Amino acid sequence: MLYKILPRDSYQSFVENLIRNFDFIGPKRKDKATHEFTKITSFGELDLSYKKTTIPPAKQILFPSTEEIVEYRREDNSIEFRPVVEHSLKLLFGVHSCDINAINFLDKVFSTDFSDDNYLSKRRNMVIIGTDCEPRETCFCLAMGKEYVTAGFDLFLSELTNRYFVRVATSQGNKLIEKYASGISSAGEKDFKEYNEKIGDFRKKFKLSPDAKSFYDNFDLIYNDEEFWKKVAKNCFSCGSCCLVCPTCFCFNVRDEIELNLKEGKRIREWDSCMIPEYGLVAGGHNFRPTKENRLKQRYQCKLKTFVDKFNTYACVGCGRCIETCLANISIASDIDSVRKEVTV
Amino acid sequence: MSGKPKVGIFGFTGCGGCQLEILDAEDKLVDLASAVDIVHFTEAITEHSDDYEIALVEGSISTNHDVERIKKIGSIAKIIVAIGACACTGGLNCLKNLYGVEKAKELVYGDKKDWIDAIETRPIDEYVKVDYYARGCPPNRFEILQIVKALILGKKPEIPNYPVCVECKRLGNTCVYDLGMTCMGPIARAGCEARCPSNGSGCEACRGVIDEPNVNAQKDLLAERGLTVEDIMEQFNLYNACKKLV
Amino acid sequence: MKEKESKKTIYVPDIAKITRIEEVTPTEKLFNIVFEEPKKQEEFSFKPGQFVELTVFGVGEAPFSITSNPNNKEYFQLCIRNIGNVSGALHRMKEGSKVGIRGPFGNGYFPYEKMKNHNVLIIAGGLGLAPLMSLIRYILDSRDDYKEIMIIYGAVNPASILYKEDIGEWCKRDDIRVCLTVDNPDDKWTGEIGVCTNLIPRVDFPPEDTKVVVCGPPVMYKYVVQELEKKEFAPEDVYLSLERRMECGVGKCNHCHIGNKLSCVDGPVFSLWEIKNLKEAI
Repeated sequence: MLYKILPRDSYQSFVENLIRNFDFIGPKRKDKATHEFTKITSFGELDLSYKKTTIPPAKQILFPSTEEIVEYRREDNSIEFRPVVEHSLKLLFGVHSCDINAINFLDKVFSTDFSDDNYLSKRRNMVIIGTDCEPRETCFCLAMGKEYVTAGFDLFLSELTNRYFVRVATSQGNKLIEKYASGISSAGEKDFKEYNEKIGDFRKKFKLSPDAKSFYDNFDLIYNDEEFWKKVAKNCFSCGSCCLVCPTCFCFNVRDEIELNLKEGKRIREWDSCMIPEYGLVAGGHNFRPTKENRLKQRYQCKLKTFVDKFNTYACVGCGRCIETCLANISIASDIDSVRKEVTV
Repeated sequence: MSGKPKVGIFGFTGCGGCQLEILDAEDKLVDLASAVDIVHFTEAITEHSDDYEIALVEGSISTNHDVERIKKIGSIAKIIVAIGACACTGGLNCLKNLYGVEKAKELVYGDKKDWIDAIETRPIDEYVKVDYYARGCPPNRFEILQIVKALILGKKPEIPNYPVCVECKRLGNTCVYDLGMTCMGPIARAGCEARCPSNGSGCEACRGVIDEPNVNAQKDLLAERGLTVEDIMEQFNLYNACKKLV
Repeated sequence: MKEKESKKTIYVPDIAKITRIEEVTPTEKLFNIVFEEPKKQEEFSFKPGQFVELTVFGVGEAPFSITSNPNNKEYFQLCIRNIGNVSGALHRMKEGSKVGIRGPFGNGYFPYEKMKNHNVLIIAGGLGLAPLMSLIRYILDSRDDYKEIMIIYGAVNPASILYKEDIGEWCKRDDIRVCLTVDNPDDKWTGEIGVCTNLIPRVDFPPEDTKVVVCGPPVMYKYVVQELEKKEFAPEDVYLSLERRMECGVGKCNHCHIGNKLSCVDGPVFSLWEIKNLKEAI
């Protein structure tokens, strides 16, 4: 990691250079309630004060909600399958630490066992510039250990008095800042000190502090407590929103679409959710998770246990999107606490 | 199904808009016409035939005459696809039942009410076995085409049994609740590409509800947003009065 | 920029041809399949218990266990019940039709190496015999490597018994014990009646010298495991193949997860000890 300083008066021209030279995706106000990551064409459109995006910034690009993965064609008795892979260069600007940590998680998912080129080709062609943020009411990334990110970005900008503290994680990032920013210097003792204080203050601002470790430790003990899970899932709509807005959820369905001429078709993957009843249904009619409490319990297990065993990390970055989106007021943060109150080993 | 399947398109009590939706499929209509033989199409073809394998049926059953006709279709067609809210759930027509048939007849037709052959409105599956549902008001023309394609291929059409919220999220929509509106999306059956929420208004569940709707949670949600009991009843009953959810 | 690349991704099937179709029961057919590329056919090797993802053009893709002998390099065989979209379409296909194949998949297979020099108890329920056929055929090729072999197979009724010819052959041999049972007998049935679980108490293999493999419908496992535990088979020596919904077969879509395992890449065959440590497994 290199640590550099970008003077405040160079900031706008740096960003404008990037907008001019890249397919630049950044946060822009969508409506009175939300922002969205979308193509930015001028500096004024960019709104880094954003608090909420419905869908995480990188997910829709790297792992789109609907994505063609194979196209096929039939002539008489011959059939042909061809891969469809998209990999245009994109620059993502203004991504928060939690969401970059989520990308790092998805990178692992899509490269473990088998390499998923549909994801990885887009990932390899993505420049990521992170920026710091202010915690919202529903943020608990600190509790998940995801409030700070040390890899997975090219540059990370933190605003200090009259200047930006720039962490340079890749040579690609270094090239960007050398080519497109003026007045760059190496960070000095004073800069590190102020940066350190800023991060320290940031960590003090969180309101939610669920104890995820205790969930991991106690989950097996409460697993069979049907009453508890019924209570937790009582109002669940099984609507899947929590998964669909989650930056680390990656479950997908695959379906085929064919033209009416029955000669050409495509295979599509689309976001699925383990909260939807059909998720565990097999062709024979058996459903492995028939009730909403089965499904919610399974989701918590996946987020807070499965991937700790598998990748040594939570599959939850504490971004709070699932809490905000849930119309049934179900909160993973308070349910983590409920488990702890129920059992403590 | 081998060869070109023969398709009949029939209308019952409703506005006829579903058949227009099929006609609106424009460029795909030519492909459709070449993939199947349309032998009966109330809104588009004058001649008609009683020889068909697939019946696409719109409209609800609300007269004794309707009952006879739908039973006849049921005896001929191998596959029946209900098209549109009226055929699938009874649709808006079911609101009549809330008044009682006699009262409704009197309100609308006054002293001429005895001339009218009206019964309680019902979705078509109360009289015949329906194989597939292309739901909605209006139905989604692409979904109708998907179903026809699937039937030609001999596969079971994939018809969503998840709520509209899924489609909103896939589209990246801002939740209409966050914009100060209410919505039946959490229990309403998807398949419309979240048409109403995508255009800034709440879902009215015109495609009916999912198999296991959390009705109590939806009531709580609407009450939490300030709706009265009457308002809530209205939201539930608009397209789904026949279902008696509340 | 969307590219139609020549480089294959994990989602692109190879083209294969159905060379033979045999109707074995009113609902099941056997399909012999050969890759169109001779090189691919040559390279294709699998272990008993592994599965492939099969595409029917325009309909979709679904996972099916391989039932043929891994030593058979000429073709591979699937036994398919007409139950879903893809299987239904397959049942309407004719010999010579083309399909797409990805695989073989599954790192968890029936552990034929570990079974060597032990007694082998094979328990199959219904269509569960299909993946076990691959194992049975394979170990019978080197029969001397194994001690006693006992096969318990339960079917719903006599008409639904799969692989009748093979079973007939086994019954003639004196180095395999076959116990067949049906839930609903017809007038001609003279054999055992009831679920296959009922026959486990008759097993007289010493638990310390026996490996057990089980495959059947999801509802069967709990009861089979109870009976096996009464016989004191060690959970490390019992292997079960777990069916789950699968979309991708390559550990990405996550549908087949059972706790921290994925049936497609970590299974589909797991030891009972692994299963005991997984929630919701059986």
